Amino acid sequence: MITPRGNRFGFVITVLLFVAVTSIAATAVLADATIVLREQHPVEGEAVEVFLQDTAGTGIPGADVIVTYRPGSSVEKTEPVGVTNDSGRIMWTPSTAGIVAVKANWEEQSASINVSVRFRSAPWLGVVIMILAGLLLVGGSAVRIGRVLRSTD
Amino acid sequence: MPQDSASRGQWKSRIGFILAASGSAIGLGNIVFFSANAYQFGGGAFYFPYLIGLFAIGIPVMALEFGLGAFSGRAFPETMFRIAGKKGEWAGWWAILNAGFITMWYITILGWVIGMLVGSFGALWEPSVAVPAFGMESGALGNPHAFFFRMLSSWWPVIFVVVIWILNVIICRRGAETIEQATRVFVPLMWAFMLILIVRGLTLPNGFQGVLLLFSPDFSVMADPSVWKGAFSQIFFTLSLGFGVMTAYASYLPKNSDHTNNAYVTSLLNCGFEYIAGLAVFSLLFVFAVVPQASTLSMMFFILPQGIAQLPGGAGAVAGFGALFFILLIIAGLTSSVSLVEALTSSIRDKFGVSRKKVLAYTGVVGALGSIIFALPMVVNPSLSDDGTMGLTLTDIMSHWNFDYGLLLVGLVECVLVGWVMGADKIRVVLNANSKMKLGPWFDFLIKWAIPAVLIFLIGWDITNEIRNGVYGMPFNANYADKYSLMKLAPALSIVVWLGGSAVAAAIFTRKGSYK
Repeated sequence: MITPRGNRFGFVITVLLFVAVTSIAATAVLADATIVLREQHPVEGEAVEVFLQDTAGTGIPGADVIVTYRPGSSVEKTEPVGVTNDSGRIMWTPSTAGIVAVKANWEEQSASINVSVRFRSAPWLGVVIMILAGLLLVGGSAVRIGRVLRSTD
Repeated sequence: MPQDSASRGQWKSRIGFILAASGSAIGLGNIVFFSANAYQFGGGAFYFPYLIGLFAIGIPVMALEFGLGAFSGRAFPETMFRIAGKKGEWAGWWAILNAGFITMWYITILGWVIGMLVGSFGALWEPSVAVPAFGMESGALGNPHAFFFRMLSSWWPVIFVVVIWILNVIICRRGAETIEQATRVFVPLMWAFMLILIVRGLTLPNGFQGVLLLFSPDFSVMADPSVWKGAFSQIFFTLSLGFGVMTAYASYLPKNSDHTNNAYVTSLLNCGFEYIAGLAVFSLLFVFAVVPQASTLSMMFFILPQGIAQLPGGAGAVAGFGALFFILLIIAGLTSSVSLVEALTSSIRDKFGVSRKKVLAYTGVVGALGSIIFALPMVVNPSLSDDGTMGLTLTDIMSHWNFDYGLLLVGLVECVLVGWVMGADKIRVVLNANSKMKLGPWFDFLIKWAIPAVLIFLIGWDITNEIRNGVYGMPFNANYADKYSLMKLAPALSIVVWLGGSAVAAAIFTRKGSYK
């Protein structure tokens, strides 16, 4: 029915995170920088170009790029990608599908963006869990509600 | 004079009862919180502890609560009285009063949802709005955050809260009869709205990738006890267990109902709804690369609206799907809050025989006043480095006590009283009497040993965290001597108000009057 916040500071943390993200965004605005990926939805295991640019579209070289897979989850994993080249570009090969936070740091400034990395192929175990859970929960409720509808009481 | 069975009213049909019970179970958390938990705890891997929790804890306790309603034909406090005398009755009243606290802030949240619904026709989707109470000009805080905090710092939520309370009283005005009428409309509507959101989510480019993300498992989390704690807690909360609601609802059924099947179908409908809600939520989040948060309110008010704001089709589509989403939340919340109000109403009527009209009038006024406290536009921290408004802070704190301790304690007490005082085999006999699916001695073992052990573990886990990190995470040695010191003391003060208030009130209800 109702559920709690998940952890005691769930909402507080969200607001703090929001303030933090706003601060990061503000920093990025000060630096007039954005991160652009050649592919809006890259595919796991396939290299994609990450481009750090200012408002004029000029690349920002020498920025450290890091990625965090499934940010905010208990399986969150952060990996360094490398440093942007002279044209502000770097190649990144996502190792895992899902939501990924891409962040660039340079000269005490930073910019970040969330991207969704697609599965190269449907994860068979995930599909099996989806089908079994669906059969059990949705199928199970359908069967039992059918029994209720057929019952006389 | 306590009321007799005939005057209590009955469900007109079994399907009416199922719709009402599942409507009670399916609430705000089902739509967003399960998805947040699944994201946090390893995607598809989370389903393993979740399903174990459903079949080993959720359905047995649901059957127990239905069985208690069938056994006594009365609401929760009188049922507990029949099992364990005055002490049991006190525990029953305490459970109902704990649920009463929840009703107050839950209805405030529903008031905020009405505010967001109003905003979904325009201002919510603008790039940003000014939040004068926080000293923020337009653009300082992006939407939907800005709209939400602007709304919270206005008097509108107070009006919305009163509206929700009036709706609750109207729906409960003739008990099971009017609740059944309302849920026969609302519950199918809720499923229909959710299906529309799923179709929209899955037809977005890469929408199905979000579904794959939801189910793709990361089994490395299985060794983490917090994942199991999260799953077991989720099951207990999501099924509305420990509120006394299911016992009250089952008491309106004929004695010869199949309560075991009722428990299965209600639990499966609830979890089936969570399953399909996950499809809608994850498709939307994946397409727009929005990171879920482990908080029901954040998901409802910030995260999902962020995704909806990016839907293709122009302003009309965004407003339409936004409104659909918030109406869905209101319906889900209303069918849950109605059950909480009814649990309290039936408990008072069973003991004191007061007219329903009178009980609802008192409950409505006192409850609305309580909800208004959470809805007052008092900005306690304009820097937004905390919850910001008093209501949000208090809601956060009260949900911590009511959920992390209140419901689990009630669940523990009812299992102990049934398992050790009454005898779990006796309630099993009641359940098996009219059930096609007979429960075996394993049911007794679960009620007597396994479920209490799990609940003690969950409560112990929370107490350990409290000792380790301070009450509600507020360190014991923190400096509270700043201008927000009163709000910083709120966690400690609230536990006194909650425990003290509900314990004393439960004692008064127990002492006054008597059962037949």
